[in-house]
Amino acid sequence: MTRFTRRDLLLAFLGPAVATACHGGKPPALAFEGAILGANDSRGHLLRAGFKPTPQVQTRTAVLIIGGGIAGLSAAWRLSRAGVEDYRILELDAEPGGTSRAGSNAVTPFPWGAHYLPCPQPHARSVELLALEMGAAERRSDGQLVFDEAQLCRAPQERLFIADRWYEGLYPRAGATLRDLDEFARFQAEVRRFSALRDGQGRRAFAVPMEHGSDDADIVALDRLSMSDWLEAQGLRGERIRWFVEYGCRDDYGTTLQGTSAWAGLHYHASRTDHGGPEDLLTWPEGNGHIVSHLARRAGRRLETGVVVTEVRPLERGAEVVAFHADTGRCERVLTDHVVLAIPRVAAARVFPHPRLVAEASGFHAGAWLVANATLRRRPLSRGFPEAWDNVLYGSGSLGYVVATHQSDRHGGPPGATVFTWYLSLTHADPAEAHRWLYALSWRDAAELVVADLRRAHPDIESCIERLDVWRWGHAMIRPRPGFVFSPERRRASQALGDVHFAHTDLSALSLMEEAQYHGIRAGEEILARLGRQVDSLL
Amino acid sequence: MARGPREAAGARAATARTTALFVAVLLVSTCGLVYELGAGALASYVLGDSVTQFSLVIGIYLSAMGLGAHFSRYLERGLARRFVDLELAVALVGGFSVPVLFLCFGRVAHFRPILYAVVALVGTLVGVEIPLFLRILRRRLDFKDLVANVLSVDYLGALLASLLFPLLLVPRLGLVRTSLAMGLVNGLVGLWSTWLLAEELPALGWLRVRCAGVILACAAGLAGANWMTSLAEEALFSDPIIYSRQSAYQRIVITAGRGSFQLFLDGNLQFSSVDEYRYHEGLVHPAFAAAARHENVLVLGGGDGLAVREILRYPDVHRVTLVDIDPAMTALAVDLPMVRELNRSSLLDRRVRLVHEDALAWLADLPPEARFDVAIVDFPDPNNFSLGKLYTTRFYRLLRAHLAPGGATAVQSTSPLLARTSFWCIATTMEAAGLFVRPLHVAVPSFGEWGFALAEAQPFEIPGHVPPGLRFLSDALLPGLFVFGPDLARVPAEVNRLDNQILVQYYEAEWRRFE
Ligand SMILES: Cc1cc2nc3c(=O)[nH]c(=O)nc-3n(C[C@H](O)[C@H](O)[C@H](O)COP(=O)(O)OP(=O)(O)OC[C@H]3O[C@@H](n4cnc5c(N)ncnc54)[C@H](O)[C@@H]3O)c2cc1C
Repeated sequence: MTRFTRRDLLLAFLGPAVATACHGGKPPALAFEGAILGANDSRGHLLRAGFKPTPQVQTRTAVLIIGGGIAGLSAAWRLSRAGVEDYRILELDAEPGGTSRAGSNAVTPFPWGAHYLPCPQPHARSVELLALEMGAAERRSDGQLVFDEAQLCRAPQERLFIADRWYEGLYPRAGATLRDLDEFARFQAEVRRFSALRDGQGRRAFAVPMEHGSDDADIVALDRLSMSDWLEAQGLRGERIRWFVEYGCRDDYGTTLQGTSAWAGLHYHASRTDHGGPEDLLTWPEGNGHIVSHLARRAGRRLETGVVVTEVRPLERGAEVVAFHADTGRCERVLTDHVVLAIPRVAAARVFPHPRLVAEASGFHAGAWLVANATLRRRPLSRGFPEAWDNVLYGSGSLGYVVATHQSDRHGGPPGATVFTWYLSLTHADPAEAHRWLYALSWRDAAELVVADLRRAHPDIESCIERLDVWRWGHAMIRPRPGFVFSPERRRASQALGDVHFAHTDLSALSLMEEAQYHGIRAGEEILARLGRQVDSLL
Repeated sequence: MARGPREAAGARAATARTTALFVAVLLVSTCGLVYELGAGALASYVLGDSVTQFSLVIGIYLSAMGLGAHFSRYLERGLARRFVDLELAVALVGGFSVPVLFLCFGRVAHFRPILYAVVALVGTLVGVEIPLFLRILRRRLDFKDLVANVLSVDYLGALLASLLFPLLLVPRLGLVRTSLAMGLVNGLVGLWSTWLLAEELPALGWLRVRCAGVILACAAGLAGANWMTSLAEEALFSDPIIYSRQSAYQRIVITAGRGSFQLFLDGNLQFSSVDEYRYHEGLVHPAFAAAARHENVLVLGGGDGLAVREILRYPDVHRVTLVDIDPAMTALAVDLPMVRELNRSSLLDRRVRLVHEDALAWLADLPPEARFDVAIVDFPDPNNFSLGKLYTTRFYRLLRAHLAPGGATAVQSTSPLLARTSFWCIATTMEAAGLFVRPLHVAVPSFGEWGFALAEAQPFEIPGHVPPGLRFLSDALLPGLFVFGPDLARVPAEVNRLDNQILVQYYEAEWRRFE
């Protein structure tokens, strides 16, 4: 498959509702420019193709962290907090952050991936500490954490486009029947029940990080069902409730109701508050790029970008790591006492072909994403409830868009200029196929998707767009498919092999900032323990 | 003698043409009277005092018509061509009279002379029409019949105009479009008469091109009138719109009627020139009375310059920084004579510095040591989320941080009567931001009962003295403003924060009752 016809394109990526709405309409003229970014795809491809350069120089470091995403940066953060400064972070990309990276232009910074952090619950100590350190929260004299008003997501938070106008909130109330509303109420009651539930050890049913949650048999049993089965078992069959719950699966896991374990599907709704209501969240114009900058600043020059790790070989003590400096072509052998492999599981198995990793990595299915940042010269027409931070389109295959300037007091460019970050997860059942589709898209195809999707809600969107850039995330988001979360492979995945430690959000089977941070800190603390440090765990 | 079929056909054609000419007279005279009515209506709208204005305009118009009739005698040769030219002139001058007058009003210092000059010009041109017509038709008809017929058609046109104008034209089209539509009719009559009077006209082609040009101009004017004011918009306001502009941030509209004018932003009344002094005195002077010093003053919002007018009464004011997001708003306060007169050119005072920025962003970026003795906060009511953010704890925390020791601030806080919870939500929010608040209220007839929140960063007493010579406030009146009767008394309200914007919800719910 190399070229899509317009109808195929819309149907395949945005679904029948959008394809039908645009059917017969003229294809957009696309009077704006843009590009497909993520050029460093090629570096990843090098690895997949089995690129094995020969080292010319040899160096030593106490700790080598591979991967400059949230997990790798958090491992470094943990070491620094304990006073261990002899480490290096090697990141393949020219910029750190991985799936939490951000971009910026004359109008505003904007996210390319992760864009928010829910306010932590008191048991998430490390997230609280980070929020305090970043100045996103303050501790009151009574011990309560208060979050900075300017960094909490401003109102209005969400709106939904349905039929011909926008409505406040995410549940499609407009036009809902009594039965729909009843189903929604019953679902919420279930969520409330799970949110309030505590097991024999006082643990929540679902928690973030997930390790804090219950592993009681009846909770774990949910993992064997799909979210679709669970809804069915509850008698929740209406189109609207299924759409609403599937939206959560697509948004947080990049997968469908059938493709999500019921444990994960409920985790999304019932892990953040005690009351089951929507949580407060922290967000910034550049999304979680804000957290990345903070952590990268702390790591300073120990964070090296544009360095691809091609091999990790364990030694009797420590390991030998081959690192290729993409810009200079230099290849380095690093001898190190401890390694943190903070990269996706599949990539980890490639650079470190330990039999257990190789055997089990194939269970880690990661979904593909398409993200577009559209720079607007002015706001488009819009009917109904005013612009919110998160703007979702009912019935579309996309996840809608987030407005980068929603959180800022000031932006560049003309009044009304902004950046819309538009998200699409390819929920196709077979990840390899989704990946192929993603890479068959041209810039034009992607731009057409964005315009076709938004045009229903904003008829003049095309004339508002000044520039549109696209990012393809190939293996971006781990899928908590039924049975996987509590599978032995997943549960074993965090265990170190010799002096090689593992960190990455994949290890939780959930793609979340807190999970990535958790594993980074855990790996950091494992190393601290081996260094003989007495540490008070932050986990 | 029997007439041949050709002759009969010729006679029929001649009668048809004569009838057509009478229809033209009807149209022309209708247009003529509509111009007169339009100018009269406009004059009474913008200048008030409708009896005087109407009779002045009618008087001038009628005497100008007499003058025109007199001038018609100097037209001798090529009468048909002159008639077509005259129609084109009436189309342009009459058609554009009302839009031009609307555009002038508010932009020029002396409006009346222009008004009367335009009325006289249109009247003169219209005055030439009928006599000229009579002379053209004289050759075709019996003179006695002719005069009687033309005059009765002329009066019929007047009747038609006086019925159409109030019943159909103004309600459907508005004044500006009515006048342009009549211009279009005059232009079409001009074009039509090139056929009716073809035998007497040389160089028809060129004449028709000119007609087409004028018709196009009127049509373009009609289309362009949408740019000046939209029909839908005119229906929103009770008085005619005399200035309307979409800036990058908001729609600015000025209406005028009964001798006063009003400023609206996005359809919401900001002030009426009749009673704005009550509002601005109540906003500014209590804060000045409470503040320890007056040197360095901050005004947030208030781009109309009216609060600054009150501020500049104090000789000890050294510097006023006015932050208004919209350059179009402060430009209007400086450039529109009517507004500038009202604010006494306050924004041109050399003590005043204008900043065009979002007030919240500007405050957030202020150097931490910047301090103001008095801060006047005069934003439009919190009826949307972008305005709502200017009433949050975040905003008031920043404001408090930049008050000098002993400094005072006054915040316009909507109506404690019509939007009681909203009013008290603002006070509650300011308190949550660490300010000590003394709410007050004043009666502003065009708004209703209006409220302000006077505040300092430390506890303070209700102030006792205002400068002498104010129109509304006096020392005796002052304490009473701080007394809230039972129907205005405090009600519990949540704190308005960026992440809840609860005030916008209160406000919506409360004002919806009055829509
Ligand atoms: C589109 C999208 C939206 C998301 N939105 C949210 C959100 O709103 N909130 C949220 O909490 N989470 C969100 N997530 C989940 C997000 O993945 C996590 O929050 C977090 O960023 C994961 O961090 P990580 O460090 O575990 O992994 P990654 O981000 O995958 O980081 C791994 C890093 O390792 C580098 N690397 C890989 N191989 C090598 C090699 N051989 N040598 C050197 N370096 C290498 C990569 O370049 C990358 O920088 C989103 C994810 C996506 C894809």
